[in-house]
Amino acid sequence: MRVDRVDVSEGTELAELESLYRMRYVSLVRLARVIVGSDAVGEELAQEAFVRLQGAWGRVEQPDRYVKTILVNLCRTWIERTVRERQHAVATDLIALPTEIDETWQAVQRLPGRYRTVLALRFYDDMTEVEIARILDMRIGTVKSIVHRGLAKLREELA
Amino acid sequence: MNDAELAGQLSQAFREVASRPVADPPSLATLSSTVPVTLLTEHPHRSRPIMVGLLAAAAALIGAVVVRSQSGESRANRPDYSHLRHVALSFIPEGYGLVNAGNFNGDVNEIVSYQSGDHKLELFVARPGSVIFEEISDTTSSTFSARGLPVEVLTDSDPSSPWQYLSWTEHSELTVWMNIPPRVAGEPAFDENELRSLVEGVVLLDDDQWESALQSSGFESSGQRRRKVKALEMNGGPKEISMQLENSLQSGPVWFVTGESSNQGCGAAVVLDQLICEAPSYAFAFTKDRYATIEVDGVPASSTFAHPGYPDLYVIWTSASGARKLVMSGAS
Repeated sequence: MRVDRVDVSEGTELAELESLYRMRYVSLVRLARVIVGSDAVGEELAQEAFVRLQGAWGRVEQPDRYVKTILVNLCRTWIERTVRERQHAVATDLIALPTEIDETWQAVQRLPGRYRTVLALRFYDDMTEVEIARILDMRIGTVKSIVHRGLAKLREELA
Repeated sequence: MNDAELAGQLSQAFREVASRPVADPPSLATLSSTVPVTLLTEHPHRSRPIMVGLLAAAAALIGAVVVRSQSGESRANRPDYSHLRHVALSFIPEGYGLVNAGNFNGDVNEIVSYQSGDHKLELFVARPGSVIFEEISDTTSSTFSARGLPVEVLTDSDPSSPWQYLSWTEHSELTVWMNIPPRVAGEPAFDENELRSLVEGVVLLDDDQWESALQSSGFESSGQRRRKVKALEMNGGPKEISMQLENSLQSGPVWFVTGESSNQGCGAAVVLDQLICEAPSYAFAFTKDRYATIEVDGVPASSTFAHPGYPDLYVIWTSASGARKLVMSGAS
């Protein structure tokens, strides 16, 4: 995907971008990997988000929020694209966890993408439903419904 | 296990996954020196020249698939078709034949993607019925409805003219999800031949071709990007519904959904001054934002359906109600 880039060669702007990159990269990788279930993809998506941020640098009022929004939407897009190859995608980058946690994690991985995304934002990133609705461009009611139904699906899976 | 306990368990799993070591990030300079083309590196379809077959009619216009390998190396054959503004998708009509906008149903699969300058076209396979599309700007990746109408859609799902017309603006990316019937469990993955049996063709049009296509389809163009839709017939759903779209409007949206719920994926989101539905057998409509008026047979309708957390005005309209005409008008 081609990204229009602005000139960030000026020292101040580049330093700000570098600073944000260093400060937020790891946390965004972690968020992405929780959503997509893959270390490698999580890293790639986080890097892509920063590339896009760089392209928009100077036009974005809240770079921190912007890059997170981009990341979450990249995760959603990635999940959507891999729905049919989900097993393949997971198999190439399997995350091994302790047994007692792995069962829950595997159940999460079997949920539809939008459920995984919303649940990760809610229960990993501790975002409020209002914040999730904003970042995912959903109605609050939809977010609430997904959280509720997502937990119900998980409960069924774990029963 | 109650919700709180389950949420705690879920949170623990997430944090366990998140806590795994993260490799040192590449420098920002290194990062920006690589132009990502696409993110779906493992997708087995990506390296397949599916669209060469799909786009036989437009082979001269479209080049090769833009891909990015797992290692991050790009290989691209990018034809210059930056002058193109529109894509017309032709379907063999089946299923519901309506257009969904930003109504992602979670069952979508990528076929292939193309890029031209600021335009990116991606085709997906999903459930039967229609085209789902989404515009992603530099500032946000939003659903179609939340941004009003960043991508225009004109559709004519008359089975005798099964063309779905889309256009998208400059400096934006367009994602098109193209639906085909769901696969029966146990069958092999869809292949090119199957897709070709379902899709008659995908053609990229320049402006002249676009206008010509619009006119031949009964649509009129007004303004550079905003077009007046005189009439739009939507057939092929569980029931037949006719909508007359009087004018396009710059804000919205009005949602008009057939079936029992918007989650069934057989709906349409349109931006318009007024939407008139003539005697559908079944309709489920809701409105939000500036669209405050809904009349049924000339009488202002009150909400007939309350959905917790949804502030919209809902009107459920069935043949049993005897209503003959549903009009949704903009408040402004």
